[in-house]
Amino acid sequence: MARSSTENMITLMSSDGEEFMVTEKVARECTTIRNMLEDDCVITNIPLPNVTSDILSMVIEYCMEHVAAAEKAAAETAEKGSSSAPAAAKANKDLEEWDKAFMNVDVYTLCDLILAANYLNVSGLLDLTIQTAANLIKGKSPEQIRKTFHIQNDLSLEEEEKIRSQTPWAFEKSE
Amino acid sequence: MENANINHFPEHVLLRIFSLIEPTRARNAASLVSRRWYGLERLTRSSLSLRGNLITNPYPPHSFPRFPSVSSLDVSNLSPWGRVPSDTPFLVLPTLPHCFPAVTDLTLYSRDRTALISLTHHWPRLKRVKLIRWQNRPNGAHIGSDLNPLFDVCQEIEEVDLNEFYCWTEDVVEAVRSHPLVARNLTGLDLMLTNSTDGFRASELVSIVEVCPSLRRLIAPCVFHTGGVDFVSDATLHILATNCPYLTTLHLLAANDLQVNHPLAITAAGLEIVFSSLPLLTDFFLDLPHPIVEAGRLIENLGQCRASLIQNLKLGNFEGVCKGMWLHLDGVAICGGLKSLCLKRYHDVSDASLAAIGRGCTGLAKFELIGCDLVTELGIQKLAKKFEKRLRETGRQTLKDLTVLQCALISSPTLVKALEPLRDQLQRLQFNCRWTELDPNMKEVLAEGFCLWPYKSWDNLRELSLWLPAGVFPVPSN
Repeated sequence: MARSSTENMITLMSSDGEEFMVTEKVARECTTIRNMLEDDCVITNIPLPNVTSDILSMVIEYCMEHVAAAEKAAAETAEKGSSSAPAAAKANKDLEEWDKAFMNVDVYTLCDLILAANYLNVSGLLDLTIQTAANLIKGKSPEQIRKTFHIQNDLSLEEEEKIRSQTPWAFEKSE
Repeated sequence: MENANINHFPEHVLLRIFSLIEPTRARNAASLVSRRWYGLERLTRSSLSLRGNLITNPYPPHSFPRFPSVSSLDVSNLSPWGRVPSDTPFLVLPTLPHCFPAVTDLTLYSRDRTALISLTHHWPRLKRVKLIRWQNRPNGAHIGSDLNPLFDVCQEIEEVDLNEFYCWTEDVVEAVRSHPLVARNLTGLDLMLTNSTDGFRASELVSIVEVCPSLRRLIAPCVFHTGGVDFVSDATLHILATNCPYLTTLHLLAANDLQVNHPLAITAAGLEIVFSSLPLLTDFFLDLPHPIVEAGRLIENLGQCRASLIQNLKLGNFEGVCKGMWLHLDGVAICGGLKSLCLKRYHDVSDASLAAIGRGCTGLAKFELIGCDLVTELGIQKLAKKFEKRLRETGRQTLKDLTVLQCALISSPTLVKALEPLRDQLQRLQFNCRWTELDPNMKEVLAEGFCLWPYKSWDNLRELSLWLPAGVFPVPSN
């Protein structure tokens, strides 16, 4: 990917000391970093003590993909004067597919990604990971959910019985 | 951080995850995971339908849980339906408002006015109410008395749905007319009244729209029959359109499906004026019991002026709705922004019309064809091919929902074959075509039709409704 040399590069440092060079545009996808840059525009090195290098590299991968997609769409619009609906729809679909493949991770990674997306405030990534986590909960028994997310059952038998007695009354709203 | 655990997430992240969990079964399972999960689940549940019989399945002995976020509550399935039994302590109704403090949308089986009276006093701020009643209206009830408690107490009500509520048209008119302050803020009225009435007469329709200037949605059965008196005419529609200029959804349907021989008092020219008075209209259903002539040009104008706005059309008996005779598009095929289209009762819609619709209505996701005598499977096939081609070339959304009812020339096996190009796209399919009568050996033809189902997969089909003659089983032969 050819980048113009005038574009500002920013170094992000993970908790384990690894450094990542990214363009300012990519870094700005993280609202937390964007705010830092806007407060102090000469900053070029940002330590991120809450994010490990594995996770940070994934966050950067996500941001780069989405910045590239947005740039491509903008370039096409500029070229043709107006955006063509079918091309835009196809690009969106491609990006969705990419997101889907990107979310093919284990639960630990997913949880780390959620925390990182929340800390760095990458709204698209947070939406995506949260939806993935909600999907993981669907269609599982309580025991399977506990196993998936490594949760201790602290409900007493009586409490469990009490909750169970409420469910026959609670159904989904019919259409 | 070593191995992040979902329980260490910040509260706002967890709440967002929980608010995305559906359906109810998954929510019920999630609430049994741990104490914290139980609390989070109850905090984020937004809609709920209660079921059970209060007499045979007594109310849980311990206090009913609070659902602070439930805004949409359906108690219409609690039996005994809507009745406050005099011999059982009625435990649910008084505690409901306490357990569900945030309810704004309520669905209630309202057998008589008592349930409505006891509930509305606890929830005076209801915004949307759907009343259900399949029983007859109580004998001797005053006109409007079943609805008055709602308007007396809930002054902020915006939408009232009476599509499944058995009452008379007079009841609605009386209740609305006697609460002009509430009526002024009403944005939605669904008044099908379980299809049990002859429909609203012109004077009744006028009485309602005069006091409801904010309506955005109006659904009503109407008397179009010019054989009697007080029928809905061009003048009535004109008054309706000038009184309710914000309408986005307008459905006016002939109350019963009978064809009438009297010409209508509604004309294409009259409708033209209605359309020009309703600039926000996106959703227009008009199902007439008698054809109106030369309606093609009217629909064309609608399509040309507001191509992007009109999204859902249901047109019954519009003569010349789409001729499809030449290369240029005509009639409804000009409405390029349509998402759903229903054509009902046509003797002039042909295979060529369907091909034109396939070319013109590029965004169509839902298509219903009811009672069109001239259409054959070739027309359906042309339509399907157009959509399939567009999907292949542009990746655009395509037809997902198709209904074919009472079309005499189409048989079920040929219809299924004609739909082959859309096999992977269709999510909902409904038809009641004949299975065969052309072939002497009925079973074989039936099997041939059904072969398409087991041996080829319809990957996205979620809903299938079909008609079979009595005594015939849908079992494919090998």
